[in-house]
Amino acid sequence: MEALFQAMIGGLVLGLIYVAIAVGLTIIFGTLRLVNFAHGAFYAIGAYVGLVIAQHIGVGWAFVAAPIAVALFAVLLDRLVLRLFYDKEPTAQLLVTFGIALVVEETLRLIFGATTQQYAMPASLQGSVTLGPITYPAYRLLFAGGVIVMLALVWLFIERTNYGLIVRAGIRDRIMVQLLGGNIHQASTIVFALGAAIAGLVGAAATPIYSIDPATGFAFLVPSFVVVVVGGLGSFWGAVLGGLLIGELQSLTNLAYAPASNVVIYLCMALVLLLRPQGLLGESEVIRQ
Amino acid sequence: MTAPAVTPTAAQTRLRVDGINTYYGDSHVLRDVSLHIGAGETVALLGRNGVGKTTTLKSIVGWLKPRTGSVTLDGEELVGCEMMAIARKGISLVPEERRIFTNLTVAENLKLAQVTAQKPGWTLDHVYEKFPRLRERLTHKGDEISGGEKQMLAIARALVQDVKVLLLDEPTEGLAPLIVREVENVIREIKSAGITTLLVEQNLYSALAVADRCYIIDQGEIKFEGTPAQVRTDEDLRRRYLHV
Ligand SMILES: Nc1ncnc2c1ncn2[C@@H]1O[C@H](COP(=O)(O)OP(=O)(O)O)[C@@H](O)[C@H]1O
Ligand SMILES: [Mg+2]
Repeated sequence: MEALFQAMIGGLVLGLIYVAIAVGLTIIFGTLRLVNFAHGAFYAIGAYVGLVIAQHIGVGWAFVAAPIAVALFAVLLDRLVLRLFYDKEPTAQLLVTFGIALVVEETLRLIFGATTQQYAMPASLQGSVTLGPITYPAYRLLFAGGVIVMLALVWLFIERTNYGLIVRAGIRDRIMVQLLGGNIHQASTIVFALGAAIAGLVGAAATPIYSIDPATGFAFLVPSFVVVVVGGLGSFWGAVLGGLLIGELQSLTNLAYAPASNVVIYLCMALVLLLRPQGLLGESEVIRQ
Repeated sequence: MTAPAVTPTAAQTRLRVDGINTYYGDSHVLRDVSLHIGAGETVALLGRNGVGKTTTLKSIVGWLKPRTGSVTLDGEELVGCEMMAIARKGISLVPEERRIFTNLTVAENLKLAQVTAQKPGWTLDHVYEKFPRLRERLTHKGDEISGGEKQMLAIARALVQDVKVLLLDEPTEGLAPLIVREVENVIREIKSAGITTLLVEQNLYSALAVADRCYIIDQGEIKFEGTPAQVRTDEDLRRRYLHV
């Protein structure tokens, strides 16, 4: 019983990381029509920037520096490389973002070595909290709460601001936005930077929980893609639902029969694709070019 | 019945299309198309299906780039400008497919146009007064309204911005006769508001009723320029270029 409860909270924390990465993937796909295999690299860069800043300056600053650094990196990447691939076929985009992810991974390996790293939380956050039958590390709960607040802010930005309105319109019809005088390129850059910043921040904040090595980017990217597919490409709530589902599924399977915990998410994806190809909350309608 | 046609002098010309040639890949679709619209005029561009009407509008708004020729708004060259920049100068296209944002509500569709406007045009109250059906549909998503309502919304979306030239691409296409009547009334309202309009139509009599002047295009070339009265009386002209 306690183990089950423990696994469920663990699944929530893991699921929220997936949600955060998947939300970025999904809004970037919706707005830029870009399948971004470099998104895991954003997580990894955020984690390493966070690591360095936390060790040398302080944990608080790590949470500020990581999203800013990753957003800047993303904007540069967009301006210098990805822009050339906007009008190319999806395969070319896939290859170039995959290539970027590999370059980032190898660069991190050169700078930081291949070993697993982690930074310690300040003493004030190292305690545990008693939750009914179990005690749980306080930081993990704080992390979960923080991710939820961040996702709520992202949702408010998309649903309640004028910029968000342009973004949502652009998801459906980029041409019409421009015909109305809307700056779709600027909106795209903002969405790309926002998605990257989310991944970077979560990367920095999750490192005390899940240690980091240069391959971590891909380790989180692949399940996050599963989340996007399960939830429905382009759907915010689909990413939330899919992320929590995959996180719990993985965590609970790990408890029941650990060797199956990775394969189960692909089974889940296959099942969803068979029964509801557009994903749980995806729209079946073909999105306009 | 019809007022005498006024050919605007250069000073009054708001939009001038001068000898444009537009291609889809290697396919030469517009051949030396020229037309002009004076400030406050309502001009119709008529022609059968597939002769280049939509292509002409797309070439004006920067959706397609003419290989040669020029398009000017109040004397300022537009060829080479981005779609967004041309829209911001005050040229507003209401496209054939309407292109309502189906994931946004009617209210959000209007709000978006206000947000992206360089200068405000009609107020929402004014819009609802002229399009009472939209007021009743404000919270409906763009895919939950009828074809007529979509057309009204597409036009309203243009009018909440400060429009210098309104381009309407077949606004009555695919609508029930009663709704066609409503759209015609709206176009008459736009005309009496003094908004410069280029009206593309296959629905001949709908266009002739409201236009000050008209052009006929066939196979990518302008074949006729004159008054609605001339088109009405010249049966040979209509048979050659307009009747299906
Ligand atoms: N995207 C396209 N690619 C290639 N040819 C096109 C395209 N759109 C239109 N055409 C061709 O250009 C010609 C003019 O089309 P269009 O301007 O849409 O005609 P209209 O609006 O007068 O019905 C047609 O022969 C059509 O087949
Ligand atoms: Mg057409």
